[in-house]
Amino acid sequence: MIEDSATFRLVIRNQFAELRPMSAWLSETIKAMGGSDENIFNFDLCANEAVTNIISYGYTDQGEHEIILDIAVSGDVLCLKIEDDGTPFNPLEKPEHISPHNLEEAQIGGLGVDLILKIMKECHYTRINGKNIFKMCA
Amino acid sequence: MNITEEQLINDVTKINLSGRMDIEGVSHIETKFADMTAAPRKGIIVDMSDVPYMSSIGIRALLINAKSVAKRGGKLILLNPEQNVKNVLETSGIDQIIPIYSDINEAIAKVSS
Repeated sequence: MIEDSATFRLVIRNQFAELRPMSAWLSETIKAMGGSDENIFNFDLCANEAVTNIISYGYTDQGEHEIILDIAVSGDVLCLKIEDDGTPFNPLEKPEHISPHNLEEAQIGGLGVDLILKIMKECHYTRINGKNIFKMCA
Repeated sequence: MNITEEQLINDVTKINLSGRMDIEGVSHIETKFADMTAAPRKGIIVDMSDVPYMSSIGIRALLINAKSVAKRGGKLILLNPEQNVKNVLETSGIDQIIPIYSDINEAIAKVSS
């Protein structure tokens, strides 16, 4: 059982080189909070998908931006909030990815958001003061 | 990530992947992966037993190579993914188009047929 916790924060830059340190932080933090190996894998995966999309598509400039991750537990629910100052993007509005029937019709790419929405029990999006705030809970 | 290959019976190639199949991991292996699945090879088994993590970039790499093999009339299948990785393949529906096997002999038979 996961104990109620304070919020743990990580701030990263919008660079792919930050992804592995982010994964390591998530693994250590969720473990310290009493999370399962499955929790660690799922949040690692979903955070990677979300942050990869932010870095890849979220900015119209070449500048450095911060991406803020906050993770906390309340009751038995573990939630990760990701905040960025990129262009508005609500993952919940993305059309559902339809599973292909065969290899020929399978599209390369576009699976990241779909994985998050299927793996996480709850997802919320809001945009406040020019920031995308995406929260995922399991 | 690392990638190695071995030749099995019936001209089947077994590709052994190890390490995290994320952006960084895939970047280390994608060229070699494409080379190892290129013509004239038609029977490919990708051993996933040493891959502890896979994101959609990993699925993308598997799809690209599976498609190119299939275009030439060949087959690429997956062998023994870890349970969390298998869940990702099932959640994304990829297991329905790239078969997953747990037995090497059945896998060889599948790609040889």
